[in-house]
Amino acid sequence: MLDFFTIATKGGLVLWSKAYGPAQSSPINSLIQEILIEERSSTQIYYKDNYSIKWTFVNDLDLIFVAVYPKALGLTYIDTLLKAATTQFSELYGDRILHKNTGIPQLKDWGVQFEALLQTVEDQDSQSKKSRQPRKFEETVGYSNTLAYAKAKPEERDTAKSPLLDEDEFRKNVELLKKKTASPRMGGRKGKGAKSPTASPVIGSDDSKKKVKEGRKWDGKISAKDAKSLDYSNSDVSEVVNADHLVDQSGLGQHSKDGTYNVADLEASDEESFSSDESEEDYTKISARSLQAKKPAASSGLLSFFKNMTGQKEMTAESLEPIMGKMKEHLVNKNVAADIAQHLCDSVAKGLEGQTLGSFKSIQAHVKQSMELALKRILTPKTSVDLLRDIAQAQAEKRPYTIVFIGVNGVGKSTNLSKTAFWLLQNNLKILIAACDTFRSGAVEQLRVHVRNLKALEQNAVVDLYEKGYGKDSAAIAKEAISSAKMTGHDVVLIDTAGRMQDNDPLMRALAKLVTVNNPDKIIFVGEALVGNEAVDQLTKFNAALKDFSGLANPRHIDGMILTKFDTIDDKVGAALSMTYTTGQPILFVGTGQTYTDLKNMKVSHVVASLLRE
Amino acid sequence: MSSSALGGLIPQQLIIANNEYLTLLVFLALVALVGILVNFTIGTKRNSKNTILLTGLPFAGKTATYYLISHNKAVETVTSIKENETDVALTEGQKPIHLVDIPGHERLRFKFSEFMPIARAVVFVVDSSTVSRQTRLLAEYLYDILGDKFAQSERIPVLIACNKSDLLTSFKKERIQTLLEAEINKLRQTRTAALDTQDSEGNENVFLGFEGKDFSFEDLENDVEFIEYSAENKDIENIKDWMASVSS
Repeated sequence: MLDFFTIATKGGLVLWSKAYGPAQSSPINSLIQEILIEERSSTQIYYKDNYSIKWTFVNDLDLIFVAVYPKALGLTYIDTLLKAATTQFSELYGDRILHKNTGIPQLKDWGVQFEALLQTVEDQDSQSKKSRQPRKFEETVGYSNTLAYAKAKPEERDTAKSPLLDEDEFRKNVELLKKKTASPRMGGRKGKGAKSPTASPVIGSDDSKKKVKEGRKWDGKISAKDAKSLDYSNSDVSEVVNADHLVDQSGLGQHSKDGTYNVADLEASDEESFSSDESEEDYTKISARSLQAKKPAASSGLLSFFKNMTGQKEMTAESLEPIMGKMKEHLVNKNVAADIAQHLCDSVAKGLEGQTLGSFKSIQAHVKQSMELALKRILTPKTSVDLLRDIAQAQAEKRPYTIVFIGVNGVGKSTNLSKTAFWLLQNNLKILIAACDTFRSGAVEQLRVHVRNLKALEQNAVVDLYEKGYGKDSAAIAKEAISSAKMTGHDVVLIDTAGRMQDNDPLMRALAKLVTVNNPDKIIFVGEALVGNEAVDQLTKFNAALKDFSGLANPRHIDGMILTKFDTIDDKVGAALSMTYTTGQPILFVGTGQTYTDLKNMKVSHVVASLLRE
Repeated sequence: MSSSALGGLIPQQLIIANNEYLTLLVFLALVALVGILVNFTIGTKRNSKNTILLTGLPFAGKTATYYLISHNKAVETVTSIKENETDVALTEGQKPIHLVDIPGHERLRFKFSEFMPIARAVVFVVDSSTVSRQTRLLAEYLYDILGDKFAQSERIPVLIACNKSDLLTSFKKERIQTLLEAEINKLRQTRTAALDTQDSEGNENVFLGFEGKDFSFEDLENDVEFIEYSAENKDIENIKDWMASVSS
């Protein structure tokens, strides 16, 4: 059974909400915070505690519909319910919600309406379940081949074929389908389009017939008579098919003398050829075309020109699709991991569907704008990145602050560890570097050189190396280093670990052990900015290892990232997006060069601009 | 085609060209007109600057306060994804102010900086019952607001509105002020010592208050005031009064 149903605005106002069953707090807030704000709404369902949650947007009204039901029940009708509720709700209250100055809209009878809706949807569901019984022999294909079937009257045949579809229900279904496919506004346009002078000359020829006044058909409502004409299920096959109108005679090819049939050439004027260069113009063309595709060739009058120009165009999944395809390609070219680009584009498209475009606004500019907002949202850290403040807190608690640097081989863990050390030293902190890479030869010596350099750079700098040689257990060395730092009064312990590939199981276990034993304050993943699709794999596997091999109830995860070699990638900054999207954690620093000072804070606006630059 | 009758007399291209020319002309005229209009409206908006921002952490009660002020109604709310904005007259006959409710979630917080150029005043809503747990989060956000380029140059007044004063566990405003001052005092050290950002000269964080002296809100050039209120009890008169006083 349904637990909660909530209708809220994107601004956070709950328009209508109903709790069925025992009233616990609704998980809708965590849905918004963990899925919708994080641009992860390309997923269809969200699980929180014991609830499953499904939702839909009504973007032209800025509404969210959320249905919450117990996880244990795999309710199949929720999608139908959400769809039906959104349609009915926007029909009833859409105008009132759009006119914001009338105040908070009153939804007097929605409760009753919704109950009725829920009832029908549930009934339909249970009915369809019933219909899943094993078929009778009379309903099978085998039966239709028997003599008994041939003898039976045609009407009986029909009823035998579809015992569930009575006329009334059929009409209802068609009505629902119509509502779904066409909003009333679009219906009006279609009518206009048919009258356009550019339409094929065939229409002109039977102009006289058309003059006869026809009964008006209102959108969304269907008379029984119409239903009959639409019901092709039992139409007679013997009816002569008038094939003439299926083929445009002028477009037919010619039969050559020897009897072969030549297909007519494609006329150049039909469509401008599809250019393949990836320029902004290309976007425009596609968007314009996809928008036009919805309404057949507009009349060439001045009025309609402006209507096209300024008129309110509604964005649909179809019209967005080609632009989103381009956008995805663009992001992938910027080195964003392909499936992340896909998720993101889906999520942005979901947030745009149904919105109407303002005057003089092209659809791709609109898409770009909302993509920019989405990127900003993803890249903006949701936790504090003020490392110094964290360290000050640890100082107050009289304990050393510990940072572990993890990552695959050769990304620059040691280099960026020493850059971080240099920055911390400038803030008068006492640093201990723990050499826990006991694996690669030269790793300890490398750190020793860094320590010597740092000591030479800063007078009175307190930076020491804690090392126990090679081949030892790194977790134990880190443990000893931390307790030694406590004794000697070091403020920060930087733990360097061996680089490891994410698929190397024994090494990943060793890393998980190091983290579990020492419980560091920050786990920093060091990643190359050059990485492409691999970024997602690395991060998910490192996170999974920390979780699976820890044996703790609340396992640790990556707390932040350093993006290295950022100076080598120009504007292909996609790795920054891939990494933040995968982990949800911020990029603390970017490494921008070879010297100790080449460690910078990442500027979100800079990365967003680089990502969207042509 | 209807023009086919005239086809012999006037070349087809001319008709089309003429039509396009006219269209273009009318279009250009319209663009110019709209441009002037838009410029005018923006210009007036900038000049009068009657925008008041509602900011604060999630669950502080910003949206509830927003609807209390704008519609005088207590509403149920969830986390906002989008900002709310409306024009509202605080008292009868007074010029309406433009009230904007900024989502509190960390990922959406950057939106406040987009509104700062047109802000007349900022209300920072605080949940008085959770201040002790959220001191650092509060101070960091408040630091961002007070350190904003426009807050500095325009001396935008800030009201720290301590919501949920009806709760037993809520802190008094004096206590909140000392907690925030102590935290900002620490933050300004760490903020100014942070690494440079990419592509910029030096650090973009400003130092609040005076060097060598513990931070106090009185040291700021901005007018910072503290009040207690309760959106639950619809007790919002003092916020309205403050808004009226800064916007008049």
